[in-house]
Amino acid sequence: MASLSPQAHTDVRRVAAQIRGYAAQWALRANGGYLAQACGTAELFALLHTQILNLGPSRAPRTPPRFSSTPSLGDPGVRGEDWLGDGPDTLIVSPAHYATAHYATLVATDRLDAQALSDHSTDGGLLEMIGAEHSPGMAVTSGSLGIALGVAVGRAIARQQQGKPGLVWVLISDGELQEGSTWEALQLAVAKGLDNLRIVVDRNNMQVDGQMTSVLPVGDVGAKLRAFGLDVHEHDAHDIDGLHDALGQVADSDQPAVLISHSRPWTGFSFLEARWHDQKLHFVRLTPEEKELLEKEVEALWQR
Amino acid sequence: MAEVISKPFYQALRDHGAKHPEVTVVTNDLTASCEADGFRDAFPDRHVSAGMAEQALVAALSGMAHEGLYPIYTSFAVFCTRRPYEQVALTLAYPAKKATLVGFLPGLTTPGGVTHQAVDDIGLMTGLPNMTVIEAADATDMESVLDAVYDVQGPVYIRGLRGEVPRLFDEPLRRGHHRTLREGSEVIVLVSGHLTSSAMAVVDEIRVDYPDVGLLNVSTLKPFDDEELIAKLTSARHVITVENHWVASGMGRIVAGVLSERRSSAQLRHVGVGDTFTHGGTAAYLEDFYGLSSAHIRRAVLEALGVQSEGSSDVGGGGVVGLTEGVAEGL
Repeated sequence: MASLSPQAHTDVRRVAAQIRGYAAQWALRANGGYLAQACGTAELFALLHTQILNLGPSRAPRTPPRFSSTPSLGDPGVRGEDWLGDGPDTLIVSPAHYATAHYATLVATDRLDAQALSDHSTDGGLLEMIGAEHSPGMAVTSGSLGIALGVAVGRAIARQQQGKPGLVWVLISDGELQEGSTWEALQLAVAKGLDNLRIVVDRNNMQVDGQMTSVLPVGDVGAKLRAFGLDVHEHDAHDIDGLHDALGQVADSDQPAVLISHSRPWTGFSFLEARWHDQKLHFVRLTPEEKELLEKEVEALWQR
Repeated sequence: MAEVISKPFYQALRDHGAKHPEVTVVTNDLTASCEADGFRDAFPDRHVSAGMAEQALVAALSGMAHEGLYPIYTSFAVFCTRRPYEQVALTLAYPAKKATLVGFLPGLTTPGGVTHQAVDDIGLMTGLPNMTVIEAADATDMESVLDAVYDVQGPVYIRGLRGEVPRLFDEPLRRGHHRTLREGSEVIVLVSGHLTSSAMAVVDEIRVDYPDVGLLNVSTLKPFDDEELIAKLTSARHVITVENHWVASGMGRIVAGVLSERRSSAQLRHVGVGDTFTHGGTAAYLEDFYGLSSAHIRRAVLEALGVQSEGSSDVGGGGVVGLTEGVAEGL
């Protein structure tokens, strides 16, 4: 994959800024949100959606319908994946706490109307705080962690058997490496030689109780994944050009491949790093001072 | 309005730890979210942070119990029951190990959607031999439930309430004993858990015109052997079960079985979640959407009384999800 052109770099930076901006607007409106998840993955989602994934146009309305029901026999209901198009590639976002980041990405990449972020993240809307498979851009109901990777593996196996083109990309969080089911899925992916599976690990070293090292360290993730037989690449999550090249190498791999995206989930807003040290970054409920700061900093983001 | 107590379980767990040195608390990255941080800070050597690894965690509870510790696992209800079900069944229930699971966010009390809403936990846990199942309804229950189950020589599942919890009861929870909240036998409303406070308000309002409507609270769902309660239910003309759970596998199903076994002629109605998966939203919206609201309870009671009820709901759905102070931090 060729390196990023200056114009593409500018586009990616703009989309990443919008992802942060929209996620921050959500947090301001709801007086809290999964802001850090968006800040840690803004460049990653921007690159995936604008440079790496081959998704095809959205098959769903820019303004989503209201919630009617969960899937039932013979009626899958609204499919969040329809906003991602027909491929050949697809993206599964495993930790559904990243839904806000992904909704923001859909807005920034013109798959969803900006108004949807406020109109449809209320009662009866599809843009749920923790996404489900009826939520735009979400393919699996994966608010319980360590589950969607197995679904991705199943889809990659089926596509391999059926000779379908395209790559199954799945974003997981490093916290999901604590779940045994993650390792079961990786074991199966390697055993089946799934050369159409691409995994991105958001290595933000953060979970609900605080920094992962203080909750339950997962150690050298790269070494563990390599020992499991995966083609492992690692890069800084906020270096746009380098992350692009690393994603390109993962995309071009001929094995089940992983990118460990080393993120700093406080990136983009001044007050978040202090929360990282206070172990209160998983869900950001804004204090009045933080709210004021965030309003100013979002304003500056749009003007950039 | 009932007095509201902030985090009643926080101090109760800590006190329990002080009283019983064999108590060890195990958490899966939801320590403060499940009010175990007070215990952790007081007894750091008796707290195990196992990470998000519920299957190994529950199996480890069995091992700890085997060696003489009394492990208490505090988490969300879904992560106590659905996620590690086989480990609960085979390593705790089968060998009857003394271990307690405290599951928060029962039913539709969370905006987190189906992955965080336990509408099946009572069914999963009451289906297991050797398991004791308790559902708390107020702050007093949360303060007293650990003492109430301490002498159980086997696994216990407590369906708990966290955060801002109303105080409805003066007397501590007694295992195997229901509470009579309002006397009456023409219609008996039997409520468990979180919906108790709204059932109280509805029943009080209806009793102005129909004083023979009774209200009972049940906390011990397994074993369901409170003969005094069973006698009241079997001799009532109408029984209405009210629960924050799937009716088909919850308290409603248990009561249906008992009334049938005892050949009761009581006519049974259910207020609870029907045969559907659920999605996320504010509690008021979800209770309205899935049929658990005060209006639904009122309608069921009036139907039993043979009174026409106005068809409209008095609970307005619709709000910004995630606003409630303290609700969303730990999802």
